[in-house]
Amino acid sequence: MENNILVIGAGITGIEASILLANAGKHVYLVEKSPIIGGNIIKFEHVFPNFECATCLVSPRQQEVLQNSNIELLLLSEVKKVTGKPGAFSVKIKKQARYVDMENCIGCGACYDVCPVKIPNEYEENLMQRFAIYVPYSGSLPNVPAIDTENCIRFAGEECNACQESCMFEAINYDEKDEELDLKVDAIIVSTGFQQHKPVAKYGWGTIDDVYNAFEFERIFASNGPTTGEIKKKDGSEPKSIAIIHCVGRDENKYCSAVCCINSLKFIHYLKEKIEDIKITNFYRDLCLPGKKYDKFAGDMKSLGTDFIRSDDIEISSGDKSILVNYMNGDAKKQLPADMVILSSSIEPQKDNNDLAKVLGIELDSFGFFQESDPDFGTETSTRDGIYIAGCAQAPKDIQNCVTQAQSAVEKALFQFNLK
Amino acid sequence: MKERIGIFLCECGPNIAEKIDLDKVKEALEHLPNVVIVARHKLFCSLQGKEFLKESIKENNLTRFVIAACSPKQHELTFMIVAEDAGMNPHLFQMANIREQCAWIIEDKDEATKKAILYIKAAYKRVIYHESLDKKEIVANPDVLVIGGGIAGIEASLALAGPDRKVYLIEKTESLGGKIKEFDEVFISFKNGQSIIDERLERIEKEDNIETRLQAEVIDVKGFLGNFIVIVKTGDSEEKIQVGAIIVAIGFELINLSQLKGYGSLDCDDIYTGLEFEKMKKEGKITTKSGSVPKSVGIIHCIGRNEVGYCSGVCCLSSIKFSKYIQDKLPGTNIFEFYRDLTLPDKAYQKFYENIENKGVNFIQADDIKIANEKGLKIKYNKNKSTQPVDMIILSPAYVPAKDSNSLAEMLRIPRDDSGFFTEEHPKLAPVNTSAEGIFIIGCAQGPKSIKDSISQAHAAAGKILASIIPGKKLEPEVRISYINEAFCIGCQKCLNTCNYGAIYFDNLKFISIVNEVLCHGCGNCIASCNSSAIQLKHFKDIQMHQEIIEILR
Amino acid sequence: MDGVILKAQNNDFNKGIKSFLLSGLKNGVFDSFILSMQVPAKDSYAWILTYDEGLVKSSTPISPIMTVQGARALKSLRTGTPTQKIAVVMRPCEMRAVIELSKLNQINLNDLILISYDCPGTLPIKNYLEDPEKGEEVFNKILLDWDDKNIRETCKLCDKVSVQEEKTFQSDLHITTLGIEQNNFAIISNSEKGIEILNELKLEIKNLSSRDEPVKKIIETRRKNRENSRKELIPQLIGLDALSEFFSKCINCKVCRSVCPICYCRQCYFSSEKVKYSMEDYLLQASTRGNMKFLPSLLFQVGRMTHMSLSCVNCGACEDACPMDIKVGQAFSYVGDNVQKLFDYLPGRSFEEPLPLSVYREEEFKEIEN
Repeated sequence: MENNILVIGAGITGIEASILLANAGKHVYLVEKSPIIGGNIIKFEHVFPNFECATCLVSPRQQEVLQNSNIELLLLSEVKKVTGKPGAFSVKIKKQARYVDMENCIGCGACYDVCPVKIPNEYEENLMQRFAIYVPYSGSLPNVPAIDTENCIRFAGEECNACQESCMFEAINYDEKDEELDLKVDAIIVSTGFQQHKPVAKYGWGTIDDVYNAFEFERIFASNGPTTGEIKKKDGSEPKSIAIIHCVGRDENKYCSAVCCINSLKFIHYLKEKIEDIKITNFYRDLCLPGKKYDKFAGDMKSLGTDFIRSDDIEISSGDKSILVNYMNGDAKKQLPADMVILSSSIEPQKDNNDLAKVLGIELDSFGFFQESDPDFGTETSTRDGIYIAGCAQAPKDIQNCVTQAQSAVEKALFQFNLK
Repeated sequence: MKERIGIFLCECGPNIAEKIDLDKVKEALEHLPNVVIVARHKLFCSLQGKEFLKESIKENNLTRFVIAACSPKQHELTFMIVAEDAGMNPHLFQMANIREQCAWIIEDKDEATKKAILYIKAAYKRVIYHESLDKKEIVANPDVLVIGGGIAGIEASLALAGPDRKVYLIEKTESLGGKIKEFDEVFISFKNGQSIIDERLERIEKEDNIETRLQAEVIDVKGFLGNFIVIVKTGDSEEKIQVGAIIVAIGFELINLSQLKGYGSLDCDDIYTGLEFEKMKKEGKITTKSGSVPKSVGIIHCIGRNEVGYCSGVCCLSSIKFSKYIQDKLPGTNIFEFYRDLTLPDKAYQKFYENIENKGVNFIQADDIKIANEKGLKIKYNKNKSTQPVDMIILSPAYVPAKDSNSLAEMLRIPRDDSGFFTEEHPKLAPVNTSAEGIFIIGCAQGPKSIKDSISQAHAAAGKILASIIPGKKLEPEVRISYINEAFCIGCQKCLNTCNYGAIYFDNLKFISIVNEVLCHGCGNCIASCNSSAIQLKHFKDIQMHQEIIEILR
Repeated sequence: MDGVILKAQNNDFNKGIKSFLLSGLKNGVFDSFILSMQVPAKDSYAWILTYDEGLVKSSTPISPIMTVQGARALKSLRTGTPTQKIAVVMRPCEMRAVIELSKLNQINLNDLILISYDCPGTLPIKNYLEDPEKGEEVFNKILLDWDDKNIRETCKLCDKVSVQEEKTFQSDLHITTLGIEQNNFAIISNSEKGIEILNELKLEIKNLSSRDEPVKKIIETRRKNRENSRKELIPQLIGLDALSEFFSKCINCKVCRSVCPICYCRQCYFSSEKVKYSMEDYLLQASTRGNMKFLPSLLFQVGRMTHMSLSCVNCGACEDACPMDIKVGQAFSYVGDNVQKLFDYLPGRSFEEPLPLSVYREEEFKEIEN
């Protein structure tokens, strides 16, 4: 007997869950709202603690998802309605038209060059531009572009078929329609991930040049990102000093995101690799390094040369020549100039969790993450039978724990069918 | 039989056709020995392209073929399937990458064409030496052995046991439950530890497919994924248990306080470890040795962190829990928590900490802490500048690996970290797997962690097993694997150390190394270690690579 | 260093050693011996395994030439269960090769008692064969005065001649003459096993600090020799052209490989089918390069270097055997030293030191990586 399982969100958690379920012989519908799979992990150049290239790490898994006949990938799709009960859920999916045929397109990119539209690329944290027909990053999987109808001038009524004309494979079809799909599934795994906290005004993010949040900096460092990996200030010069601010958003969110300290320490390695004599200052509250590996990792990073200042009251302002970090040290008010500032901002629930929770009929916790059935013994079961939660959709965590939860959620879904 | 070789040139739309003169390429290849067809197509990976390829293979009775197109990373699998559909062994073709390695990187068309011809000729030379590799199937035993009857082991056993799958749960003490039964309240649900265990013991009792062995230990393990043979000793009797997978859930221990220097006097009265304090709380009387209620209690975090070299991740939380215990039971007692860095890595923890702090616990950040016993207990910090007298001290010592870790690691041939905990196969993507396929590590055996994370890992390992060893389904191991030529192997055993998967073992009678075909992943490490090239990797044999390289170096 | 002092009348160290071995036989610390013995024609030496007191008496533990590198001889004792305590007397370089081969599982060290000795070097086989009798005479003099005029070139550059504070090779017992009074020699325990044996024999252990200076002096001389000789050698080895010229005399007899203790493979890659090419390949090479030299020797030499230089013990057997007098031993020793330095590894220094390529360290070759 074949069971169908719906996995919502194709980040590392959803990918792991889908592959495992497919290997177990289940039919998986993997629903993802963006045009690609991979989620947040593919934004990273390297992951701690071993500095493995993140895209290299996940690309075999992405390929597996694309090639596994048990996985039906639904991109640009969202879950609109869920009815029924465990073992017999009816799910309505809205699948937006991609306008590019996944079978015929070979990802040559001929269509980008001819597109007249240029807009900021939100996947690159708006640090570079993309066309209206686009793939989010170079190296995205599947390597097939999509047309962004909100920005495409043809869809705004103008006469343009530049991309279609440029395509040698007749892969572009402007007449493709959005679809509504009705699926029957036995269980649902929710792995919709997180979004990054937007720093509040006192950090100067978005108002002072060269103040970046962690993902922005990650893209700046990325070899496939906007600067092809060169760390430069907005004026083109090389920063001589940099401040890394930990715990940005902790006060607002009222929890510790568990991974930012380690991720911030990783930046020391990034920086020293590119600019050997850069002066780095970490502003932190408590270094949160739980687990068998991270003290050593922190030690290795510290040995590269960096200052640590313990402070929980920080404000960023712009000075004459550089950015100023204003902080409290004990009772003393102090100031440190820096050419660039990285804000290590926290992991936050996706803004549309509320809508999805309503559709699924499950509860959110007070923070807006999906509520687990038991904080110690059931972190992967939601408040509704047959619906499981995994990864940062449930709570902030590192990749290892996301993968663990994905595997655990799969076990619970399989357990439900008594397929032991 | 005479070889009949086909060469197929993919235009990849304009990608290859515009940058490489495919007519010239065709001309250069047509007269190669045994080549019976050189054909081009607009796009071989398209439906029509695949059909054309399949028909060409059949019509021409091809024995091997070369396809010059994109990177094999992109479409090797695609063409393997076509070959199979055409009734050919999927390893009898070779891809030449003339897109990424020629068309896309060389401006000059003549140069690109020349290089493409070279690459295709190299692939042609190589493919002559390709061999058919047949899929193998092995029967896998679905049963599972779980070593360690703590909460992680219990959860994994309950998740796995069923009509088609037996679980053997091995526990070295006289009862199941591990450390958690000592806890009066567990973090963060505040359930009672004993009742958590009792509830599960009841389920185990009802489950016919869990066989529990108490006061038992594993004394020998042989075999591999799907086919392990384990010798378990219970009392004086030994039994042979056959399973398909093994889960290691042997938990942790607290660091031995007598090993610690630099904290001052740790062996005085009224100094307790967390576990000892749990016991006191459980028994319901928190008193000093003299029997009086402590007016002040100091709780010290991070005991032994420097010595072990890692943060155990849970001591801050349990320390704060102790404050809660004291606040609940002894409302008038002053509490001082001495911490280094508060580690509260989850959404629920900060709020809990804030509640406790608001109720009047003093949190003191200090890196250097010494305990002195001079007319009562004193906690000194800030380089001895500050002193806090207390009636009782609770220590939060570091978690260290269980004593049996070493012997078990040797028996199972799985590695351990510098920290002494078992090493996961990959720190990100395979947290509960080990380098030995079919052997899993969960809970604090893998690293110090909270109850909730231990339980997640228990279910994760169960999930991996449910998805990989399915009753009635055979395993299909990788076919591009190493093999050892007995005539050349001199038994130096260098290859044994290089194998990350424990796939090579040594035959003491024949005095040669042997590759286990199920465990080998075909990574090729062992081949580099073998001076006499007794080891070869199927599909990447020396002769295959040489022929390709020689042709390219022309 | 501590050890026991024993008599060697008329400075006949060979005789002294033999009487020590025989006393061990009597006391049951040794059951049998592997020793060097002159062949009946009196023009060479061979390794023998014997229980026989008489044969021990007629052996020559310290022989003037290195015929078969001792480690190669010990390879025969690889399989089976040892039942005997076999005492093996060999040179330091042979001991080092023994240790390397035991790490490679080619020698079973169980119950072997390794006895090394102060080695002043050996005579080139070719010179010895011209007049063996004179060779014996010359060597006996060298044993006393350590004059390096007549010893092999590779021995002149060897600084691992004796035990000292800084460990350079592993054995159980070491026989020393340097810095010991006339008509005496001493035995130093060089391992736990060695200490046990000396204790069992109930010999009086004395401080042997008189050795320190003379040992140090010899090591210094040898190092200086090496430095000077390498000044000449290095330019001949740098670059492909230089290397080609260096080995151009090679007649591809591969005798260097046959006598090398570290070349332990059953089937050498360079003799395998894998390096045999088709006529077509040769013709093509000839047409692209202009000519094709048959039996390309450089691939073999460089290839062998990559295979064994990490374990090369600089014993010089290859150079001694080379019929074309190529300085192959010196070249390999130079490369070996450098490669070993990279891994902070000294072959034969100790049994516990793992073979560099069989262990993984997280921080490795940072300097090369960057």
